Amino acid sequence: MRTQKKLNPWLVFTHVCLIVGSIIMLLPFVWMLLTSFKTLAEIYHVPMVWFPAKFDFSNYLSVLNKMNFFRYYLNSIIVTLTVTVGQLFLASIAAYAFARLEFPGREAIFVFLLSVLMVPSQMSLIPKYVMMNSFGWVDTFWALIIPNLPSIYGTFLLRQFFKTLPKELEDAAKIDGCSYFRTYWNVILPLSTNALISLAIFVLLWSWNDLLWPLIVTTSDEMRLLTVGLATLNGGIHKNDYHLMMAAGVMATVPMILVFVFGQKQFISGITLSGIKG
Amino acid sequence: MKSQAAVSADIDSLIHKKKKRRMKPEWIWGYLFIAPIFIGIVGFHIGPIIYSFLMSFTRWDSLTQPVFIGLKNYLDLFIDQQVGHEFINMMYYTIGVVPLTIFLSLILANALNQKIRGVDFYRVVYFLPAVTMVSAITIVWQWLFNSQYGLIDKILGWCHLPQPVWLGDPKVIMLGIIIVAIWSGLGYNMVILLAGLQAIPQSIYESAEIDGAGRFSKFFWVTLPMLTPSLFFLLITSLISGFQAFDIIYMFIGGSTSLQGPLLEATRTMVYGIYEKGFTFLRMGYASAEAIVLFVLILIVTVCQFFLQKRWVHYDTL
Repeated sequence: MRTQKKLNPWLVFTHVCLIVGSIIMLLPFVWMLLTSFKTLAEIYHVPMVWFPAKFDFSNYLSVLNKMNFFRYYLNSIIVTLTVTVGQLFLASIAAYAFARLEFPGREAIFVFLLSVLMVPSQMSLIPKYVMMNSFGWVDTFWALIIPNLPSIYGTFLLRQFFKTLPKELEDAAKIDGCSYFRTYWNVILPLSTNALISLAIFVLLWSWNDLLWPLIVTTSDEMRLLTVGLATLNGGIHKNDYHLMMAAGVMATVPMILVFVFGQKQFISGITLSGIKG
Repeated sequence: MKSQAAVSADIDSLIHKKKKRRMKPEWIWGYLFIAPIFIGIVGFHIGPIIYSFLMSFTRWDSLTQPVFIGLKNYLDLFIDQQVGHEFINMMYYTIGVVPLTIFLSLILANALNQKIRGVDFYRVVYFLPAVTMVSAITIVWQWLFNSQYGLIDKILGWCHLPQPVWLGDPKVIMLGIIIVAIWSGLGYNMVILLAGLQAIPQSIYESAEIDGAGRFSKFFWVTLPMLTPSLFFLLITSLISGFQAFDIIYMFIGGSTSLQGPLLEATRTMVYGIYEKGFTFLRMGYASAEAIVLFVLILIVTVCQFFLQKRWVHYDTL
């Protein structure tokens, strides 16, 4: 290819700034990883110890064994997967009806539901908790999952997308005698995999990282999610055992970082899809 | 609500299609498909919002019957010094985080919107904090901020800069929280602005170049005006989420056991206040009133934004 051209000072300046910025962005992650392998003596050593003497997973094991962290992990996985699948199903089937089926009051109902987006979620927090309490759902999976299933936001997103799909395929399905559900399941959904994946990643991320609601509706150690587990660690007896807390932090963040790295494209399009059209 | 919808549906059909009085299968399927979302949103969002409004006029500890006390909760809120702190901290946090995050991400998005080496790497790196759990991030930063063993004060020491006691000084702690919030919010803002930048037609830049525009005048006269819709969107959503910040505040406070006294007063925000009043002290009525006040504040700021947007947001293409 071409030989090295004269150095463009503007380009050099840009790169220097970007690299310094990248170091600042990555430093907490690197420090988390390094600290997670250190021993208690190493993290409180003066002068500072940069690298652990040996890389073994003893901190990770003791977090998993001693702190019920394994259980938090399992709970987080169960809740996140159920919420994601449930939210996608309910939102997509409603979005199909709002985008494609004709029935009286369709637009009015849609706008009525959409008005919820204007109100901050903290406003419904206390009554929602009272409701969970009266159902006897506090400290169960029900409270962690059911209130998070209906999402008008996801419905809105998918409705906008379904409206852009060509109608001919549906008509063909109708002529073949497909029911409305079959049309939704066999025609609309397969055409929308990209939009669905984008939304799924968004819900996955939000659900995995949510703190406030799980904090309120769980009381026992058995029902805690990762976010709540970390918050409890942060205020508990292991407060100063940063080597253990970093190991816990690494384990809690790695799944979403993997989802992000592998689903980068969909991820970014999910964020922009949700954002820019507003 | 359901019956009201059905009534309006009836009226609709009377006006428009007099002959079709019978329920068509398409209607039934339509209502069936939206039923779960409808019930869920009304049950878990709209109902609770109305309920919250009603509860704000009562004294209620969630164990006994609520007692109607009129506007007393609201009057108490205005003279409650703690709520005053919460309001000031919330404003401090929002004003500290929002403009700087948008400004930095504007520069970042412009830098990453060119064909330079390693652009994909940079984008991943800057976006990484946005996908990581705030609870985990905050613990790392608390360790970094540690005044004796933390990395940040060590680095500041090498540069002969002052080394504040980040987590132990009421004057500095919010600054630390703001730094973490900017660090973790940069990536999301960057992605939104990048999408906005990529939507700007290249032809505008070309005609600006023909008119002799340099790098900076292109930025100020083409990029910036064309980006105002994205900036407006970011401003609205980040002000709202600034007012609603909870995770980062809660983690810094440390599970409501660690920080006390002036440090806690310097950290707590309104959402933390709602949480604490409602779920630690079981003052559900008072907490509801604070939630209503927060909602009104958000509403005011958002409405002001929409009025002001005419002055600076350009929706038309040139």
